[in-house]
Amino acid sequence: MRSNFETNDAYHMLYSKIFGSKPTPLSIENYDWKHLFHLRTSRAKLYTWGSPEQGRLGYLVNEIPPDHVITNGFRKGVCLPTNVVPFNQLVVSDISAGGFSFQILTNDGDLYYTGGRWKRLQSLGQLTPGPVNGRDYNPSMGSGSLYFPTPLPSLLQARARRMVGPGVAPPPDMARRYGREMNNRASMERTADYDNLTRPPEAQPALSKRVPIDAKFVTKLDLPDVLDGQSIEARSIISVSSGREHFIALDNQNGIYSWDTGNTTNIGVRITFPGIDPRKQITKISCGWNLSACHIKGVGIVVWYAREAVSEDSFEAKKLLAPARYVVIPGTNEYTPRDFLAGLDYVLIIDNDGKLLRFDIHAQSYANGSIDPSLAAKPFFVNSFNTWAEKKSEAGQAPTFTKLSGCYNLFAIFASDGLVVIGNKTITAADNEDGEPVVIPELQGRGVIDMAMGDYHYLALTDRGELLTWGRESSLCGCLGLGSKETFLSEHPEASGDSGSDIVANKPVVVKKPEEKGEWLAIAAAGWHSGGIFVCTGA
Amino acid sequence: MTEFLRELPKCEHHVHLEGTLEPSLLFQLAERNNITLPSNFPASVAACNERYNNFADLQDFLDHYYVGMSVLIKEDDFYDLAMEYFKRAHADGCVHSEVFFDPQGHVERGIPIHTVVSGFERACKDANEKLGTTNKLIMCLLRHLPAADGLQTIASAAPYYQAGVIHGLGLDSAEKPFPPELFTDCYKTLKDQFPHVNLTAHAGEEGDHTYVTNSLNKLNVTRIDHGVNSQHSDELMAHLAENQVMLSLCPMSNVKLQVVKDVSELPIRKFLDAGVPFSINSDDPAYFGGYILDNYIHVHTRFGFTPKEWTKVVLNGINGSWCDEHRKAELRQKLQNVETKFSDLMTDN
Repeated sequence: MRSNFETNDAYHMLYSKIFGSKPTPLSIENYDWKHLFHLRTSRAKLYTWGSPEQGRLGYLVNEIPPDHVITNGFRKGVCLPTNVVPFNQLVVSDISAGGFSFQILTNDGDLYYTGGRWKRLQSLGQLTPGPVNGRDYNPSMGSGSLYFPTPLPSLLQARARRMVGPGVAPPPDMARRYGREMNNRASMERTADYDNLTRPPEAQPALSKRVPIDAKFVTKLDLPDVLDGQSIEARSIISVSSGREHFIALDNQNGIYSWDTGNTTNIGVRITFPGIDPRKQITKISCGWNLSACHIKGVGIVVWYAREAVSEDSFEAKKLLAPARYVVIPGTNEYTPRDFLAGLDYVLIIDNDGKLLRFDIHAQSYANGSIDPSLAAKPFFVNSFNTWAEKKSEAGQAPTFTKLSGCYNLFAIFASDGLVVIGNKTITAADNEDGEPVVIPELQGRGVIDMAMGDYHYLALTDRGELLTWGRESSLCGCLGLGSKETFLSEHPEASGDSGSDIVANKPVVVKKPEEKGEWLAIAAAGWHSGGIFVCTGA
Repeated sequence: MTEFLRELPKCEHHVHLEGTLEPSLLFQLAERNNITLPSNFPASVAACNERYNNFADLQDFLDHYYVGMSVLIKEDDFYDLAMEYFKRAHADGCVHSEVFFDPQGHVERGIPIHTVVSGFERACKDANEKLGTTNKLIMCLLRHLPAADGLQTIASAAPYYQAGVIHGLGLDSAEKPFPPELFTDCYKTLKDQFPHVNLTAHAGEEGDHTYVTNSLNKLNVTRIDHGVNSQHSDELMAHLAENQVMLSLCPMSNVKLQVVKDVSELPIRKFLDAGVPFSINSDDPAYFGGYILDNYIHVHTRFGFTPKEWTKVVLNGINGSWCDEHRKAELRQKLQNVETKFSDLMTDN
């Protein structure tokens, strides 16, 4: 039996189960999966850089090497990728970035956030997609209740029960977030294979490290009780997605949890969709800047712009249920989208033919009732992009779009021929006749497999584990990760733009690896900060 | 005994001026500044008082608190706010107050810091002249805002520190997500520029005892606001006692904010027995239902301190104040006078 676990195929399968099918430089075919598996579980480290305000990078600037810190007036920035030490004892599966913090998913299915809080204090209960017309029941007057809950007794028990022995932990399935596999094969399905696969003995020491993190700027998040008939022991989070001041997570029991502007504790509020059969499988989640979306098999893409407040009954029952106020994007039940991405008041969709569509939804107007959700318009084809793709056809068959990534008003879209282009909300508007995707020559043919972007800066990950960055680093916040301004200007004179007091890289440049040998596996960015998972492949 | 407690020359070290805005003044200022209060805000002073006594939750309190802030516009508004408090405190036998204010909460509404400080400064002077009390201003940074904002606030307040109008720096707002380490630059910057300025920070109310330790070690504060969780570290307790680091306790606020269910659960006796100095304070009295004397009475009804023990508490408050030695001597003399006046009570214990 054990010998079966030693095969390359077994390790490939195990790798996919644990770390998902999100494309990473290590997800290539014909690889030594056993070697990779051990690298990923023992040597992958979390790095962050950019604005360190309120501990959002997971550490204080006086705790890191001084040459990583730049000062600009009252502000400081972390200008080089910097290890978030508390996570070195865990196996990190994914990282996601919100406007004020990072969300980190571990192999154990636990979710953490960095920094003081994921939202501003003054936005409590005011912004979508939280409960804008009410507030979650919470009888506590303690100001601490806003930030750190007294864990419900059942949660403590649940946590204890989850510290269970051997066996494969329910794996994060990144396909549910990213809706794709490597080689641009669209896949939004959860794989059921190898559910009973026992973890190879060699991997167990690393994987079984479920060590509570004791760090001021890293906080573990809790979940409410499971619903009747569900298993609290087996529950784990498998996917996370972040907006500006909220984020959502999907568990392996088809539950979506929200930490938004309405939460009064660190316990996720479980989102329900009245009128939709809860047994229908949620295949992917995507947080927009001010709204959230998910794809439900057989239903379509569901977008919620607000939720009801948690009631007293639900609070007392420790369920923390909150019905979403949602719309189903018309027509999306008729096909399986290749991918979709929620942004600021809009959702981009790649249909099953690889065409780009856009659905507009003014979240605040929907939330305050000034727009009737039943009158939601159908998504429209983004002709500028679809026409551009058609024009690229040289050998008869036009490339089709395969996946999306983005943040706020910006997005990147990948095509089947390996091209990746950039767009924004303005140029994809229905009334914009002249919009054209932005083609950055340095990204083409370079094997870019993922992109992330903040307010004014971009990251791109290549299939060789290379990290590229460009854009504007406002007020020397460090989000480009290229070092000080002097270093940047001396090392990349060809890329430096007119910057004033900022750093501007007007074309992609390579971010120095934090260790000599190794590869970036995942990236995240938002606002003025960036992050990534890096694996050392050296001795 | 109540009269004894009233006459004790009390010092208050933990009161937020914005938290002293009583409904009566709130409605006056709203009218004076032509501010229409939200439709869901209580329509009368009586209704507002009733509401303040029955906040549903923290957000309910914050909602009312922010409405209250919105009526403070002009220098006179800030003057009236502070003066109302000084009169009320004086009636309670408070002879020296070191009061917090949050400039960031006003500046972000477009109120210049000069307007805020000028109004408060004028009230401090008038209170001294008319009531005979002494008062110090402590500027607090809102810890839920970035440290860079704090540095900017310190820079904008520099002239007032230079002129001796503001005497101290504090740190308030939500404690636990924003530990003291975030603000080391702020404290260091101010102290480097104005070595005479006194430093304090809210710590150990929601946060554990390490928040107190880190405030002492990393912010170099000489006083701790709240600090109730210091009780969980013997080492810290010993340090506080040995170095006479005063805790500014707020018993009724602690109950209202559910730090404890009742004042009797606070470690006040433990602090007294361990020699940890503390003062008794009102925090946000307009919202939490009690000024300094109310807090003294609450503590007395729970702990039954003897008059001698009360004089020790008050003496610790005097010694821990940031007024000059001359004023401290005056206050000690006042205390002695009270001891003499209530000598019957004193000898009984």
